[in-house]
Amino acid sequence: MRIVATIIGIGIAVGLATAGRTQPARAEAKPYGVDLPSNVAHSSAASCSASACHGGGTPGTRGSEHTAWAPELGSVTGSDPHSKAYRVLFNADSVRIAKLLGGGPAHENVLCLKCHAPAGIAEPTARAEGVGCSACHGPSDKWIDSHYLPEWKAKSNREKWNEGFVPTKNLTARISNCATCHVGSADREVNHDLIAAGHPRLAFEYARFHFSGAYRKHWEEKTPQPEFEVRAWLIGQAATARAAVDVLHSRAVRAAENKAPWPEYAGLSCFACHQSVGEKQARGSSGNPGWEVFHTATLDAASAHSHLVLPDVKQPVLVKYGELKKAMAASNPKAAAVATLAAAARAELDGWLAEMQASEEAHPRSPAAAIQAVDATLFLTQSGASASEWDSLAAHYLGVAAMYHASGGAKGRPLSTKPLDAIRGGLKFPATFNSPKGLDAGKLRGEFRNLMNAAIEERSR
Amino acid sequence: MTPFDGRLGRGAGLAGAFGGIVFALLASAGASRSAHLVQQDEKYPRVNDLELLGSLSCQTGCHDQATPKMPSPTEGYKFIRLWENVVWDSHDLHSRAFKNIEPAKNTLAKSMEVNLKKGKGDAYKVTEDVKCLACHASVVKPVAAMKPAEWTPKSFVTADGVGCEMCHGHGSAYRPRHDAAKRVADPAPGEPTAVVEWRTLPPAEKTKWGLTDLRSPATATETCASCHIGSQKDGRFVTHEMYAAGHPPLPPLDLMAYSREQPRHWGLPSQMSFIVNLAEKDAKKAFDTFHYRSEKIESSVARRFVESSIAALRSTAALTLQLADEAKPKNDGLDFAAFDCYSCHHDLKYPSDRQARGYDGPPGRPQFRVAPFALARTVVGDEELGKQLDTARRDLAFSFGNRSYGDPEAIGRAVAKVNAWCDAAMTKVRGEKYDTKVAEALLERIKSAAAAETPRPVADPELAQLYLWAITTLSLDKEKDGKLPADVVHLREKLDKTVVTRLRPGLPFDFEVKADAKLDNSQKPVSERIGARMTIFNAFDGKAFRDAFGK
Repeated sequence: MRIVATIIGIGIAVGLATAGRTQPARAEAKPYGVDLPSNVAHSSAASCSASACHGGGTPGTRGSEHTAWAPELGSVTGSDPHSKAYRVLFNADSVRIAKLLGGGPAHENVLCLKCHAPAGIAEPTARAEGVGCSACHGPSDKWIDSHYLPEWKAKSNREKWNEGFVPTKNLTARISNCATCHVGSADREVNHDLIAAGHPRLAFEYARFHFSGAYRKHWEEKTPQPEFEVRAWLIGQAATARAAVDVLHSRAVRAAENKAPWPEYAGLSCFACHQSVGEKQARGSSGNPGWEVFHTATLDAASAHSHLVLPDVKQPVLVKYGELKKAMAASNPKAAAVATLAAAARAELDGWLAEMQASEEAHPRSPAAAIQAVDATLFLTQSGASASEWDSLAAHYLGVAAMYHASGGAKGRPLSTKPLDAIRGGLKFPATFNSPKGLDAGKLRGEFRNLMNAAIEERSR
Repeated sequence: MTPFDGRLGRGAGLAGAFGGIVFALLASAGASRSAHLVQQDEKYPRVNDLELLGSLSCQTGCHDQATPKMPSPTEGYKFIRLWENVVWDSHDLHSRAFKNIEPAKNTLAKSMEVNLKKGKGDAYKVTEDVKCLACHASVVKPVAAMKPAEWTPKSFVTADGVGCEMCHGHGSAYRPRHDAAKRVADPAPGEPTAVVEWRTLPPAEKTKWGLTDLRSPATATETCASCHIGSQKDGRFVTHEMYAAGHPPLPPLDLMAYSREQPRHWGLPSQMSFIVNLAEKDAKKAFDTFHYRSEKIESSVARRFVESSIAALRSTAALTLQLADEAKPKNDGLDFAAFDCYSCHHDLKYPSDRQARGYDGPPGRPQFRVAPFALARTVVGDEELGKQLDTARRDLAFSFGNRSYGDPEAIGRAVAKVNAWCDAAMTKVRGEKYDTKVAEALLERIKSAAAAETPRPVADPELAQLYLWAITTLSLDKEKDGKLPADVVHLREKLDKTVVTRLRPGLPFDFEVKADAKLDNSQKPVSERIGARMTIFNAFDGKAFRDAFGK
């Protein structure tokens, strides 16, 4: 019990300390894996799939990566959904979306190809592969001929990155790269026009995506559970928020030049506005929707937790990020001011990510990961118990669920099972709707309190 | 003053009449005060002198006659109902307007105050917020005499809620004049023995004394619109912050539907024999004074409906322009309340009806409220004018979508086009005679617009309700014994679960209410009443609506 009190105490103390400090982020450091070097180019997967390289064997064995990734006729285990990314641009939904947007067919529209077939923009013959190897592993023109040689293997991750290779074993680099499509980046975005035309909204949580049943993986994770999932969630929060800030920065810069709508609705909380008038639980009180709630709701919990999980990581000081959130909570914030704040906030998050990245490299294992998962649950349930929007409740749920899953599920954390089930049930959209009609946020907050009590009990054993 | 005093006052007046001097027949105040004021006679009051009297002054002995005393020398009951205050007091929600914002008296006001305190601090009180009082209480002076910026909570009288003078005009100047009667030296048999000259004064003259010309459809609409659409000039605007805190949405303004269920405490001109007789004797004077032509020439209901539909669009445009003008110097956008609520506020479905229908301009940009545009276009019915409105509307759509909170410069230009259109449309309809045939064609036009699948089906619940209300309005002439024609009753029954056929669902009356009508649901808490309406609103089903007009 005393340990629990201490942890919660640290959380509060940290929150206070963060609020009080004003000095800028520690370093100008930037992790490798964000902002691709400009002198590298995408190429297609064709040369990766030679049977002697990544195109051999049966899925699950070394050398079978491309085989596992590629769609397989009649396969029960499916394939990697990325391999179908281009194909969906021909379906009825895409046709309607393209018609409503008026920018030509989806499968030829650069806006769509940027994420659905990145290598296919410069090289039309590469479109069919969809999100191919180079989309995640990096443009290969500089390393395709050397990456199997000893001198390549001797290079540091940062050196490899400088040649366009994404060192995906490092979670910071990996998730940052996922986020460039799944959250967005300076030149990739799903804006509200696209969503209104029918594109699904973006709501990215790495740990959830990683363990999705629809995702046939072509690699074996080197980091074992529970540390993998504890870290994946934690780093995922920072990388996701960083990407959200990056998209915001790019939108604000364009808006300041009158080249984009401002504020961009796609960056605001969908269900703050998309609810029927007269619903019992009005969401929010000031009449302004929240900014990137799904992608940032659990960042405070993550920033209070990271130094407890990763050695050599200091508590991040996110002053500019806090100012940015405050600015975005106002009605119609000024684009130019937001652009400046977003650049500063991005630098703070980069500094933090760089530290986590270095710690990952230096300390591949965390002996106390199971306890860390419960500690993360404490931070998450504490802030989940005051969440009001669906996006925030859902983000907190996914965080707690990841920690639950990491530490053994029903066997490892039996006390948490019931309240977690209740939250998942409460977050489900009613039949025929794609929004949380009739959401009972108060009930879900109560379940987060139940989860917190369960975690306190587990922790004091 | 008690009603008994009122009768005494009237007695004194009668005595005066027989003396052959000017007197105040219906005065509730003593004869001496009236005499004093009437001496100033032809001098117009300065606007700064116009002040609120309060509903007590109107009701005492005059407008509170459940059964008007007949005969009376001036035959006031042929001109007005005289039971106005009785109906207003028991049925009219305006009389509850202040109670609706008292947190101690209803849960909606309480939860709104709690929500608003989050942004405004713990000391915030709804009942002391001039932005709330502006529409929920009676302001002591007209805006021309005291700007909204000068308002304090003390600038309002709350006892009456939205009292008589908020619609009819501040009464201090016209009050002694409007009932001053002169004895007729030698009345013809059957004619009144005294006349009130005020009645037939030109509306412009009455306005100078502070009385609002509510017989004019355009003026009446503008008066309602001040609160029911909003007017920054009048300090009345429901902001998005208020809505988010829980203020019920304002339904689209339809003068005829609103006044039906207010309920009407006045007679239509066709029901008031004084006006009908004047139209027989002097058609021009009747039209100039009361905007009325004999029913043999045209339906006064159709005229009032048509002109008010255009006026409602104009008031919407006026508010939009005010908001755009305020935003320009701040390089800001418009308050979300200027947008169509349901552009954003709908539960999501996939695939969505909106995607199937298509969008005005790029998808995903919230728009203005389309209902008044579509109604005005249908009502005017002229194809050439219709196309002009389509152009103005496209410009406005662009200006709203161009920036996320609207592009004020472009909005200003688009609204100028809308205004010009309203002027042209008003000129056109004023040149029409809404005889039986024209009124019937108008009704058919509305029915076919409601049922149409092309160019776009009616998908906006607000437009569906405007069309349905219009059909009810245009059937008013066929009303028998307070009952609608059977086909309209049937139509409303088919739709009353999915379209707000009544502003006040479940109300036991539909048209005019006599003073002895039984009490309606206005005693229910506001949250319950609005809840019933919103449940229907949110259940809107476009296909069911269109099908209801099928054979």
